[in-house]
Amino acid sequence: MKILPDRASSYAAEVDSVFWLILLFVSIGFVITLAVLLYAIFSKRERAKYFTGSNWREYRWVAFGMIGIALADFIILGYELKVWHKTQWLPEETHYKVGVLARQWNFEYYYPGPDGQLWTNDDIIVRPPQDTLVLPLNKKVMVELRSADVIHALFIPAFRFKYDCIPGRTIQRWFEPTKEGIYMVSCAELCGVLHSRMRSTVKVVPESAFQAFLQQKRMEPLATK
Amino acid sequence: MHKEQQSFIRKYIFSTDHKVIGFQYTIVGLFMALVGGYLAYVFRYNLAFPGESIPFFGDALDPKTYNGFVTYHGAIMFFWVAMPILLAGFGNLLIPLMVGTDDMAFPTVNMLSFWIFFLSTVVLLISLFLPSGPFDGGWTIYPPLSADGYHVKPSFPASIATGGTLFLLALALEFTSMIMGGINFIVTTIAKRTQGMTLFRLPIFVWFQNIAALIFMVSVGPVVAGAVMLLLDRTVGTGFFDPARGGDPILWQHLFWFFGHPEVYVILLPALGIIGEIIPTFSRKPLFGYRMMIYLVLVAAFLSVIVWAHHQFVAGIDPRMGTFFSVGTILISVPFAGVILSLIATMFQGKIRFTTAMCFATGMVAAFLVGGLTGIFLGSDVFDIYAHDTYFVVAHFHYTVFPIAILASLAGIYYWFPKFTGKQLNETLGKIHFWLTFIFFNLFAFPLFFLGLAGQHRRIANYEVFDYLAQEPFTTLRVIATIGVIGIWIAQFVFLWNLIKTLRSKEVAERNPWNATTLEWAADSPPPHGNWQTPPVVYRWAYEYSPENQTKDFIPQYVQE
Repeated sequence: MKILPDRASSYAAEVDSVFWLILLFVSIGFVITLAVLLYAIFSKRERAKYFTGSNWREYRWVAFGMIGIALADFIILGYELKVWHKTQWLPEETHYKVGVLARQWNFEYYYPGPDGQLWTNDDIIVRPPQDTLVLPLNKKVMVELRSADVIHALFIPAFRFKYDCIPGRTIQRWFEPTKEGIYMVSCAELCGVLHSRMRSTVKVVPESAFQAFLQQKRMEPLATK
Repeated sequence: MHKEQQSFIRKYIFSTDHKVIGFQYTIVGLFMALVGGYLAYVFRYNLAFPGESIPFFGDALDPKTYNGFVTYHGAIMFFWVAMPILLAGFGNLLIPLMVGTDDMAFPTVNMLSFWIFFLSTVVLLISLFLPSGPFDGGWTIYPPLSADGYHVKPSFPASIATGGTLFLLALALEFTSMIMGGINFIVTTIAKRTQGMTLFRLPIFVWFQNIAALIFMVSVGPVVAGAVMLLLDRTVGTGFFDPARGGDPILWQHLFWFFGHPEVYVILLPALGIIGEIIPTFSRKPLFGYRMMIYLVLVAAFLSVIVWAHHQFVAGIDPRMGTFFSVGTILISVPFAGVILSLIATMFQGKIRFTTAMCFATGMVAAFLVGGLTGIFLGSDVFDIYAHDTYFVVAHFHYTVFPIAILASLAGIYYWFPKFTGKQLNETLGKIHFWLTFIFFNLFAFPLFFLGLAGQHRRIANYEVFDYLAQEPFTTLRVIATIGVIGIWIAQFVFLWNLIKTLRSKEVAERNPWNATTLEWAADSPPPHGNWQTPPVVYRWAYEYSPENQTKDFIPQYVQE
């Protein structure tokens, strides 16, 4: 059994490494504290020893514990904030733009039309019954998230990617698919009666196949809009 | 100070006696725990065996009812179980006795606080049984979903009787009632302490209750305002949270979580206060680092009101804000590590006696440790992006809230039962109750971590449409978790049996059966209205256990040496 699902984006491995780093420190903390608790239970005596922990000599053991936790915290933060910086700020250059419009209860995907702009009249739109977000392999993709009604969240576990789609706002984030395949997409924010059914898929294909897909979509009559 | 005889209604229903009010809160809280627990059983059964009919309920849940049940389960367990039992129940029962006074500072306000709370409970239960169905927008009530349902907005008078409107109204009433209680706690502690009871002689329970009341009152204002704004959005068509009319749904998230995060500490601190009384008593040792514990909790209380946006990492907040909230959140682990280690140090080299109360207290510390440590994963903004709204979060907060609301409450009930009823709960049944509850709780909550890490998202009635999550081992893990919930239920029948058996028995408990040091043990069991024949005088701090060069292993606060 895999603890975390398959990875398919450029920063997924780093996100996972944050998890494993925290798990390492947390496990050490848990084992030590539980051992101390068990030791305290088994250190019982006929008459309890009177000490109140009101001077340094007695309190230092608790203080060392707190210093240990603080050190672990700073190591975790030092590492994870670096990953945060990498995942959150848009890279200097992104190759493609994709728009996601969530509505009750499906995702619609938008690709820029001839004008190169998202959310304009000439956008290429993929909407149900087709519900696959086709993406190019090894290219940085900027994603713009919007919602038509209530708050949804686009969750792509394989990309370690999850952001809310919020009415009245556009949220910009990015990812870079690194493995061909089809991946699960779900809505991770309670969005009404059929939230339980709101799903979609991501399909990562080589760039040439992606271009062909866009070309084919452009040919489709505009009547579907 | 002995109060004269009163009619039945003044004595037991519209009573101003802090003990009766404490009982009223606790009984309503325990009743609501049954409601919340029943909902949990129904939807957990539905998750384990999707599509099958549910014993003691009926047909399989449809998605709308499922959403409603998870919404009410969360809200009930927080606001109608943990708050009334831990804060209002134990606070009312114990604070006046522990500070050595006859009643709360404002007994009538206290009575009013309970009856507003009772009203809120009634409104909530009505909203659960409306023909249009219960409110199903999640206990965090995020607009626009909660603001105008599904685009079919009922017109003005009809919109009032919808589940969401009553749900919000119930919440606003509940908060109002708890504010009144909080004022009473603080004023009573400041102004009504008996002779000799300095601030640093107060039991840790009284300190923590007051800090909890303080955090509550600092943080609750915005969410009450938010609830009223949302009510107006729903009923008269304002647009506070509607982007089409210049509002912003994110505003609600800030108002809600500015309260919602400190709220966890509002219920945690009374729980730690209960544990902090029980562990010294059954270790026969002074509470370790008493003053430091107070200072550490004050630091944590301050941090708790500036970390709220860690619930909004996925809401597209400015990444720089993510940095700030991540650092603050993770650093909260430092003061709480101090508190937990101090509690463990209190047991070190003690003469430990594992009564049922002590078992629950130790179990609470051990389980809460898991909850606290897994908070570090979620405090990290990077990993939270992945784990947010998955079962990892569900597992994490059940490992914090269950030890708080259930294990600590039960510890307190077993510990103070002889004081307030004059009868002592059976220890053998108590230990069976503890072990069943503790083991089945872990059986329920631990598998959820793995489900969450696999990417199982929350509030889904049926995972069959998500191919990856519909396969093994995830289906088995969901069944194990459900068995855990059913086991927790079975354990509570042992408790019920114990309660009935004890209350029917003729055996009378001693005045101070645990040989404890705090003031409440000086009163009669149960204490009469007015508590004391003559008010007690305090000569020392609250934890003089096993002092050196003494034959007795405890000297109560009220004994002059």
